[in-house]
Amino acid sequence: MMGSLAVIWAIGRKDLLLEIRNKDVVVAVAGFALLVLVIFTFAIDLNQGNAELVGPGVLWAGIAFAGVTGLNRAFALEVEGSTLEALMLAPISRDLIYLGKALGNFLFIAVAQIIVIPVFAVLFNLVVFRWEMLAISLLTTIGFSAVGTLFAGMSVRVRAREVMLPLLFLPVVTPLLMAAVESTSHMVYGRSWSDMAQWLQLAVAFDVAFLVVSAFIFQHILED
Amino acid sequence: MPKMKFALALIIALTFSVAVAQTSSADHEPPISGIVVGVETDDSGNLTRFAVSDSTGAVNTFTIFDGTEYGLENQAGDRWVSTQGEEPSEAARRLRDHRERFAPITVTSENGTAFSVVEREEGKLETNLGYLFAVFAITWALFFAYVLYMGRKQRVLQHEIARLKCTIG
Amino acid sequence: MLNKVLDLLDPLLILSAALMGVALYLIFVWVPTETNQGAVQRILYFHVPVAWGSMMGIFVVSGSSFMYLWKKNEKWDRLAVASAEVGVIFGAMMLLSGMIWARPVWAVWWTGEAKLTTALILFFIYVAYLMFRAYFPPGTQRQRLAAIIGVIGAVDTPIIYFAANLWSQAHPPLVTGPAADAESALGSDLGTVLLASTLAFSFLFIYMVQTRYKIRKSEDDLVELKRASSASAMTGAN
Repeated sequence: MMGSLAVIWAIGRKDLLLEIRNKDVVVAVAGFALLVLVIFTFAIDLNQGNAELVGPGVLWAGIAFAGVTGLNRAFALEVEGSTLEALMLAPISRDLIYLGKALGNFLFIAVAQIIVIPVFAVLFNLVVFRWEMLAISLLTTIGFSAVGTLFAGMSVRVRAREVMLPLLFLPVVTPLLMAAVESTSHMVYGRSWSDMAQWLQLAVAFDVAFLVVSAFIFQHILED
Repeated sequence: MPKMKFALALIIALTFSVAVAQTSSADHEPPISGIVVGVETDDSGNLTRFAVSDSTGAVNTFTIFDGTEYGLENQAGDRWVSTQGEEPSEAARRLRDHRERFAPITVTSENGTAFSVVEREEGKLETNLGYLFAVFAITWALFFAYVLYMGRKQRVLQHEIARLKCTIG
Repeated sequence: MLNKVLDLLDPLLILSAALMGVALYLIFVWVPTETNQGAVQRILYFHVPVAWGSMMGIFVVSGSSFMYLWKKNEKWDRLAVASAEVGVIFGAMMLLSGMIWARPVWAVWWTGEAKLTTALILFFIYVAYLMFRAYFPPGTQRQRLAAIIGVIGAVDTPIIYFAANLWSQAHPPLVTGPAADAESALGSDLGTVLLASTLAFSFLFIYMVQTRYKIRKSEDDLVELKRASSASAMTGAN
């Protein structure tokens, strides 16, 4: 058990070290998400009256789109260096490779959110520094990286990778996106935990289902 | 195959002709039944105007006066009967409730002023046959397009297979 | 000429054509017009069976994708792609007929309501499935990855359904299936027509999947033949 965790951490740490050196993915995700937020403030004619109504939707749409960009970038790096083949040669089981890659992607998207969410709070003038936000953000990011890692691994060898990943990723994460948006809007309206409990449960179910299924299925992606 | 294409063209042409023929003419003002699509109130929450979309999708806007009568049910089926003069804000609330539930109402009016606003009365059939026709025509057209696509694919493949078998044999 | 006629005499095709005739008679002549919605209500007899067909498509895609990953047998992959394609066609018919029904009855073409949202998202997932197959170079890897998307779609379906249900309830309650409640039981006339129509469309669905499966099979045969012919050309040159 300890051994598996060490392997997952080793793969995650490898991605993290690479990222600390060239800062490719986090900058892409955070930059893209910030731009989406800024563009939306013009597009929807943002004011005091509608910030609570549209804010959560804009925030999570921005993070979802930016997440796709980041996932594309993360796997493009693997392809450029042919490092995925190297990983496959290592004497470790495929589900651990998957979990390690998912951990890396989770960290990237999480770090990007640490930059994006404060800017969101300023632009939309909403109070978001609360425990609820932390919970929502963690659950959503786990789900994004679980599904995203699987699909990014699949799209690596597709002709139009940049198009294929969002087409696969976005419909599948829609329930998670709904949960994130709905519970965030409960939060900005100042409602209690019990109001958003159902949505948080849904997010937990989504995360568990996809982490387990993807870990099992990932061996079929890396085959041959 | 040309026959099928002809049939397809015929279906599409018919759809358009029926859609164009669906313009109804109204000489007097019959009661309008439909769904509430807009409710307007003044500052104290009293109903001032509302809009109803009828079964052909046309939107009618009605103003009201103190004598406008209401007979509207809530989701449980309890009927509320009153007039604009007595309960103008309750009227707005009821109509909003109908809008949210997509519950149909029937309005009698003259020159855009509503006299009575009641729960949809049953038994009046609407001339919305065009929608029914559109569904069958469009979806079957889509279906036949797919069948034609499959047929063509099949023929090309068989032709190719026969050719290759010849060259081998 | 005779061969062409014989080709058409597939028993499944005859069965579905006959049932379709019965269903059309029941829909347009036999069943009385519904009093609240008028003629448009007859769209239901088309919309529900087509939706049922697209649901069958999803079941077959996920089932055969799972079987492919397990058994690695080509025929499961063919079945998956055939039913995905037919399911997407049925799904498009479902979305279109639903929208045209909603316009006169709800006064909108579309609302962000639970069942509509679920149907649309599932439609997108299976469109993505087909696009992935179109973009990916042919071979066993494509079959394997496509099967994974099929399985993921199956895992996602109940979650999407549950999520969408937490939203509003403008759609008429489901008439059959796990989420139907006792109050929305249909009148007996309506039920009869719906049953006949659903049967007709089910057989049509099976027939179309079968045809698509055969085409897929001939595509594979063609690849085999091409390989054989290029091999014989090589030996001929020597």
